[in-house]
Amino acid sequence: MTDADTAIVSREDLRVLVRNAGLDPSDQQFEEMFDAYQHVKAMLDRLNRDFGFADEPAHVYSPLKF
Amino acid sequence: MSDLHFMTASEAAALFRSGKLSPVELTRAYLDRIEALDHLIDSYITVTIERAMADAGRAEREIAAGLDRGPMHGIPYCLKDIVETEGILTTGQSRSLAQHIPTKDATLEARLRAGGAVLLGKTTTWEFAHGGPSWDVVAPPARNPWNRENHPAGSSSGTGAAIAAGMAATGIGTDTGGSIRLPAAVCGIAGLKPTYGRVSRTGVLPNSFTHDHAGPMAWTSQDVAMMLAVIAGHDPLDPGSGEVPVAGDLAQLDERVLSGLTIGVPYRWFEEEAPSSAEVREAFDAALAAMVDAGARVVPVELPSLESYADAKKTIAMAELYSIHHKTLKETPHLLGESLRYRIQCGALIRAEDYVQAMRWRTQLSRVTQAVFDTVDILAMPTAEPAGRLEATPHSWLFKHKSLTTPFNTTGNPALSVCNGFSKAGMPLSLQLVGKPFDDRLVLSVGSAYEQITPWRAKRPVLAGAEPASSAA
Repeated sequence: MTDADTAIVSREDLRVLVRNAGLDPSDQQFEEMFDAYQHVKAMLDRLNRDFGFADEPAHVYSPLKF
Repeated sequence: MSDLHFMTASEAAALFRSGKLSPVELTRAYLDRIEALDHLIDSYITVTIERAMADAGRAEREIAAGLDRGPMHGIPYCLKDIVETEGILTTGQSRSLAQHIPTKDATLEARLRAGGAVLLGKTTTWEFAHGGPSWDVVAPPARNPWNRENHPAGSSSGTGAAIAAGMAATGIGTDTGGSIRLPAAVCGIAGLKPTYGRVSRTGVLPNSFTHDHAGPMAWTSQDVAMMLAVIAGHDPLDPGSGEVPVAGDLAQLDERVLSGLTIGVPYRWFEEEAPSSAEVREAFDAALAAMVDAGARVVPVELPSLESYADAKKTIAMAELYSIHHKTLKETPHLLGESLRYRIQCGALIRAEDYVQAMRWRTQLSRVTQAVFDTVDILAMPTAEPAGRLEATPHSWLFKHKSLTTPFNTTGNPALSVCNGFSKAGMPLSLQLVGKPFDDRLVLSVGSAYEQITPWRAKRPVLAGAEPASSAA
């Protein structure tokens, strides 16, 4: 499990994110999220965000599909 | 006839049509074996005895009367327990669905029924095909029939274990990051993640809408092709379903495909990013040499990093997973296993911009990947390392491991795992073959041709202490 010294996101910061997302996790769930979010944050930091205006996402709406 | 349970579906289908074997006889053999031995590997959650015997009896009468419903007519199969079945418990391996009895069949199940196949039961999975292996769900995790101390990978664990152990001829798995190919790999069978959109997912409990694939698993690639031929095709009820017609008979494979075939190998993936063990590498090199001897040529190819495919995929998947399970997570989180909760609840913290940027990255990654197929017919690489002990996996493993299967969930290409020999410890090794979108038949043809030039299909697992050590396919 992640401890406070190695965390890239603190418990305090995570509490803000969790509250803003409308969640009220139990203590156990919060600790699960605290550990998992260290990995998720690192992943989100690695995301390529360098796209031109016209670079479309892979999910494109098709009116005939629904 | 002895060892009916180790007969391939292709062999059984031929014997049905010549009148030398009946679907009832074969189904009875599987049901007897499941009853006697499945407690050793826990591959089934629900065994549908009455349904199986009714299906088999009907198939027997129809075949005797000259009615042919196609390649799966009379062939026993199992379904991963996330495929909905009318009137039959479908748990998703989750306590949150412990009493869930659907009122409709999934489209692929309806197609198998219409094709006259025989349902043996519903097989063990990781919870909602994502969290596991877990002990805080509805049933114990499946075990690997080659060594019951080892895991059968996931998430289509039960289907992989059941087929390898001779408890089903064929089966259905699903694959969002490797969940058909990984159990196929470590259980020593064949498993195809079809092209995204080739097989309907209507009625399959979702994991990640834009990465979910359902597909066939069996002892041989030929048997996988037989099952694919029945379940493939457009489904207007599935928004992800491809409107590309099925060209020709998917069950008719090209036996001479290796001659003139160009195989691309992304060496950097398994030499630098996710280094293979020595015995996996040795087996892979031997596989390439065998295919070169049969007329293929091998060229190195360069693809984006494994991490880039995984980051795009997991960002998208976590957001989609959270959107599916948010109500349960908020209202009854104790009904979800800890592994699943850990892996999905931070999906609530992924912003809309993250999701869209990951989808834009997915477009780029897919374009680069498809461009490689301008110069090669197929890609080859190991599928995975052989199975280790069945034990609780650190939940963070999902975020840390480098997968050779996930890139093709990002891109949607058809990808097949076949057996590639055995480790010194006797566990199956694996080979992954990847084709162009909707070129599933070519991938299966290469897998089948490879199986025919190697001896790996002649060896079956022995459930130690429970049966004589003699079994061969």
